[in-house]
Amino acid sequence: MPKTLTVNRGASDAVRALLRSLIEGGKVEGVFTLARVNNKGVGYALIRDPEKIEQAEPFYPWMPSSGGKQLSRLVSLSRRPRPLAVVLRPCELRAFVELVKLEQCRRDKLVLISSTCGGVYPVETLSDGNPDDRVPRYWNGLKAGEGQPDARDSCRACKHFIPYNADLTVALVGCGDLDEKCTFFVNSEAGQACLEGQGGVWGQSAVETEATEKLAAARDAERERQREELHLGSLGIEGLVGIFGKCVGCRSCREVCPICYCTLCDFDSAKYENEPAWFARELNSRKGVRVPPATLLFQMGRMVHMSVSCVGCGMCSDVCPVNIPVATLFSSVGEANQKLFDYVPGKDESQKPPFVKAELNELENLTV
Amino acid sequence: MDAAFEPKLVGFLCRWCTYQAADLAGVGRSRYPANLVPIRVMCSGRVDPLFLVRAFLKGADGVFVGGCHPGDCHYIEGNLRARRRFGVVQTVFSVLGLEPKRLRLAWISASEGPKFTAQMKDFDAAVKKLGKNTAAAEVFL
Ligand code: SF4
Ligand code: SF4
Ligand code: SF4
Ligand code: FES
Repeated sequence: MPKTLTVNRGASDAVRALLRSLIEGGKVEGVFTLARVNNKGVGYALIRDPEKIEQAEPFYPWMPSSGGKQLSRLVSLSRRPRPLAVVLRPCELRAFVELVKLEQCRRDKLVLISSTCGGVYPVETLSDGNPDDRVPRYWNGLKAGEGQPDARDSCRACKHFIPYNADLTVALVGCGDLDEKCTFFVNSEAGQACLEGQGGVWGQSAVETEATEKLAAARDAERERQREELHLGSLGIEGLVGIFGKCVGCRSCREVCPICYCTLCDFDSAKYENEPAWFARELNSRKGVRVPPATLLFQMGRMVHMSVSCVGCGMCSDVCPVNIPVATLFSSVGEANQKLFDYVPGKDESQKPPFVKAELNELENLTV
Repeated sequence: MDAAFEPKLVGFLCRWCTYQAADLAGVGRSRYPANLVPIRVMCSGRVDPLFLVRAFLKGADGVFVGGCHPGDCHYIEGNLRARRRFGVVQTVFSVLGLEPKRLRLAWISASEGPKFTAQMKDFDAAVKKLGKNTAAAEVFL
């Protein structure tokens, strides 16, 4: 069981105070966290000025972009001399670790802080009235260990809401007193070093509680429901055209996906500039062609390329302008693929991603 | 099942093994289905999983990948990687209610001409049972 430090401050305040002290004590070069941009929303920011920490909203219940993806772009493969402190949600942290494993960025010199997660609201709700009106309801839900009925589909179905690989985990789910108290779970030496000199009461306990188990069960049921609603197993070509028929081809789902890191996506390459001869062939064979073409090729192509690493964050669904349940589809396909390799993306840093290696004696039933 | 239905098969064949087995079958006058479009690749590991999806959406009724037996790949583990990717494509097909049996992976060495013929006949029959790939006539893909 991990060591814990409980401080007499609400969770967000406690994290702000910790971040501030890390900067002021010179332990980190800066902090990476969600911060208030104006009174209408939040964005990720890298902050050095201790005064600006007041603007940090580490647990504001929206995800304007995958923090894991954004962080990976800051901490590319070259070494950083001094550490950064980082606050991410569990799925963002998994995405980050997955990107480390895919050799897109480095894990060292980072203090990773995460929390048990109640989910986020869809990004579009940031401009639906005053977002702050939703916040008290969100925190009340957290205290009771419940998710929000209008949270992202992916969050309502998320089973990995207890972070892996965090140096410090802040307990939120089911913590009735989170307005007055905050408990940090220490998962590593780096986490321990951060808390040195902080006041509070030390103890020891497990981050999993009855409340987290209850939430996990509710989410398992919701995940099943979402999949049944889509009639996944009987989609076929007709069903897929039914779902993706309205795709406008904006590629937003790919742009925001933390796992889609390619600088030039195959689907943007010159081979998709269709020549007249190509159209002629399609007209001959299928007597017609959708324009722009290759919607299903893009969707299924992305599935075969990256779904083994899909962390189910829901960014893709969140940004889809025509409300295609992209994340439900990708995470369902992803989970089946992950099962094939006994793999959970972003969980075990030492386990190589499925496309990075292969074994002599495995998957023998795939060949005939 | 439409008795006259002749499936369109596409095969990605490793040039060191399965492709040579196909040649050998030809030299030995062992008849395999003429409806296979063979595509020679340097190694089964060259087969981007996207190739399979693409061939399927273009209307291939069956897509075949042939590589060297495990341990025999000229690039050491190209075929093992191919197997992982193949598993992923088949899983995507299963989850989405497409027919994973339209995809087939087999290890056929350069000396296994008869095995190549047998495999192709068997695959052809299996795909015939599945019938036409509905993606072939779908415009709004
Ligand atoms: S997907 Fe899970 S971890 Fe990510 S924000 Fe939603 S509930 Fe939290
Ligand atoms: S496919 Fe969607 S749910 Fe999966 S990692 Fe990418 S953005 Fe997140
Ligand atoms: S975000 Fe939606 S509309 Fe845009 S490419 Fe993705 S699925 Fe299509
Ligand atoms: S060389 Fe034949 S499969 Fe790799």
